[in-house]
Amino acid sequence: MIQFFTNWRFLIVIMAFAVTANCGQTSERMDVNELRVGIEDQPRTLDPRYATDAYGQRIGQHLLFSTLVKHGYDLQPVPDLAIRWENPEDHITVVHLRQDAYFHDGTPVTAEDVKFTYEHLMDSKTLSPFASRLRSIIDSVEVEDPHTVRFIQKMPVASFLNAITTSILPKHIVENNDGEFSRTLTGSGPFQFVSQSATEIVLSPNEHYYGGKPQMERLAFKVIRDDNTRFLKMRRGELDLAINALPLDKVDEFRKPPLSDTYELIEGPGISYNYVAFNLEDPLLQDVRVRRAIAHAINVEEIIQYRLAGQAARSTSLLSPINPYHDASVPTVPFDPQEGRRLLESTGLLGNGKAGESSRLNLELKVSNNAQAVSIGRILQAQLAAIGIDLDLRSYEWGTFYGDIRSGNFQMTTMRWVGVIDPDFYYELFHSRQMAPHGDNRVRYADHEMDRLLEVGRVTLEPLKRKAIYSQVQKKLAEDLPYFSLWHANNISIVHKRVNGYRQHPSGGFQSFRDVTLSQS
Amino acid sequence: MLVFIVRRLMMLVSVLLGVVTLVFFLIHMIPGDPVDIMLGENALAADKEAMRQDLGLDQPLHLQYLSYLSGVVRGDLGTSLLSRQPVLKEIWSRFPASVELMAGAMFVALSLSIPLGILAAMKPRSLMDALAMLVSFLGAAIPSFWLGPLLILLFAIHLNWLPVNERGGLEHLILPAITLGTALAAILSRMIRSSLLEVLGEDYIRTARAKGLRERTVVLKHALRNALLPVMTIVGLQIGILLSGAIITEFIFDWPGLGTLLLQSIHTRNYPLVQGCILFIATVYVVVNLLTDIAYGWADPRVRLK
Repeated sequence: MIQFFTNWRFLIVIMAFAVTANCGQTSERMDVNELRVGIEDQPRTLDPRYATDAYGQRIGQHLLFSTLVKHGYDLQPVPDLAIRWENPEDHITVVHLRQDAYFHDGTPVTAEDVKFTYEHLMDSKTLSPFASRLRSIIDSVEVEDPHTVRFIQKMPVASFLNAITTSILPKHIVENNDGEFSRTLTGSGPFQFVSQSATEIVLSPNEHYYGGKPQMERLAFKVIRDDNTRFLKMRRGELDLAINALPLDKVDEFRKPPLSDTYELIEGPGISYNYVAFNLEDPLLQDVRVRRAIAHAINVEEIIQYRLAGQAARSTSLLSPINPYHDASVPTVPFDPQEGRRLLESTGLLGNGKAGESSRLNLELKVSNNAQAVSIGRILQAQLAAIGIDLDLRSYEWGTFYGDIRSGNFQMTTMRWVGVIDPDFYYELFHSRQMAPHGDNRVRYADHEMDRLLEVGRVTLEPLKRKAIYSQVQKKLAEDLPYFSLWHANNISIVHKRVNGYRQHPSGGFQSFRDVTLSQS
Repeated sequence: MLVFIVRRLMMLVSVLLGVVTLVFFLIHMIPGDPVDIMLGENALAADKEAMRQDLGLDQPLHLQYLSYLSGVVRGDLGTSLLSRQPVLKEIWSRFPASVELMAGAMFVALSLSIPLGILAAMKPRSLMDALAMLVSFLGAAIPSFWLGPLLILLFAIHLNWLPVNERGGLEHLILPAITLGTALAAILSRMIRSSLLEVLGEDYIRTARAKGLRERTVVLKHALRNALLPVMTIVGLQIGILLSGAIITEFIFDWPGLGTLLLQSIHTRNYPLVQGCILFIATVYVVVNLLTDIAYGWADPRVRLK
């Protein structure tokens, strides 16, 4: 027996040794000149011709590539490759390019590259998901001289350049060797592509960048899918920056020591819009009184305060208060359960329209399996119960959920729109020609007056007139309630104190990384 | 022996054909459209249609099945819908990480379960037995989604000994291997205990003791080798499970293995990759089992005679 104990102890000693032998190397491996950013998921692709997910677009448009104009911190267009632009006619935009922009391989960016980019994306052989949208507004692109491009549009488009923030591609590479381009991702942005693995994307500064080479050696995106692991990694100081990438209950930890000693918390208004959508083809929900009753029953302030830790702003429309087209006078439906109950009783639909049935209404709320969506679904369930609506909460995995919403197989859902800047997006959501599954009008809203407003809005160039049109749009939607606006979520960045020069963009993007410097901590 | 192996390999073909067919039709039956998921919410219908045609997803299902099957026969598992890389290449790029994690977990499981099992079997119904079985009971009862973060808290945050996540050197392997290995250690130690108890009652053990052999030699040489036979079967089966089913552990530690690859490809309805992963896992499973059976014959001459 004793001999067994010695063996056993021996094993433990070996294991303990194996553990401790590696300790010295692992603690605080902080590479001074590397910015480490935690992200929640791997971008589907970084190729700007095909990237449609948030991280793919942010890393592409903000870091690897340049665009003609960018969205500034006030969401207005600011020059990037374009230094100025003018409209000699309503449907023509002439863009003057800066002369000191170079691709990562040192080749200058010229008007030929711009022309090539748009023609390549609109070419059906490229199979870009942006093709149809570009084709619907661009007729042709002409080179006037090496640094001047002329866009002939199919119609006048308000804030035309804002609508086509497309990464400019290097003609000399894409034309000759498509495969090489998708491997090297040569652009003219402040960073260039180094490597991508299942858990990490590494970029390095572009020394040819017109705005000056960024002052860091490496920029690494760490893909950490588990919320807890991401938080623990941050807590251990293995990450420098997380933008909207931590659960709200963990964010509070960064307000107090010891984490507040190492990290700074930056909060600011965002443009990510959360709403309840109603299927207007549903026999119950096509009655605006039912939708209004539901809106009266939802206590948005309470959800913001207790479920979102106050990190959101009550919204009255798709456009956030920062958006220049936002109209602050748009009314919202106040929280008033009594009024909600009264409205509901006035419809005669209780007991789902069957006479003599119960005094309640049964509806189904379909949400994705995202933890926050499910927990907010539960709150809505409880709030609606108070006015006599029994909400059946159904949660599905994203692919199934999204398929159902597109095909109209739902009554109510909660979703969000991320990154909405130009009000022309209303056209896609509420014009009667944009019905799902082909378009994004998933609530199946059809209204002649709305169609007319949206058609006029997209070709009205004069900013004040345009603003007046979209004020009407916002007011009408607040009346008709195809969506009930909930809130715009705040942006929350958690930044290590060794990071200087980071500025939070309303879109939660990576625009300021080129100005970031790292100090010795 | 050769006939045995050949017969088993032929069985492999029919098993894989069944797997291919079943997986192909099941994954296509799940609602959700890969093009919708790939192109996101803002893409227009015409662009989606163009992509669907390009990927061949507009073809009737039975034609897609036949073309997939003819590819598989030629060793071509197709290309991933998202990355446009060959499926086999994507799988191979994740395989080493899975093998590493499997080996680490197996090491943890064996080095915990063999001593625990022996200790418990030496003095059945003693305090030692109760303690050893309590440990194994806990190992089986603790879920990995709880154990993983807890280990990170202790070893990475409080003690600051080990990294939080990611694949890297040996120090990166320790926490995921423990997380994944404890549950297996629990099963194995119970297995070893009961198997050893049974063997220790055999006549030849009494003979060995009567010869005056030391207890250590009796247990380790005579009893353990015989007791390990059923354990080998379990270990063989578990290797297949560990290679593919470490999804939770891979997720917590951002381990780039096959489990998360499969999970992601299901989420994105990446049909060729899902099919490829499952086909690959099924092959590994069958091959490992075949190897287990061969090893069984090697370890126990009686099996060969039959």
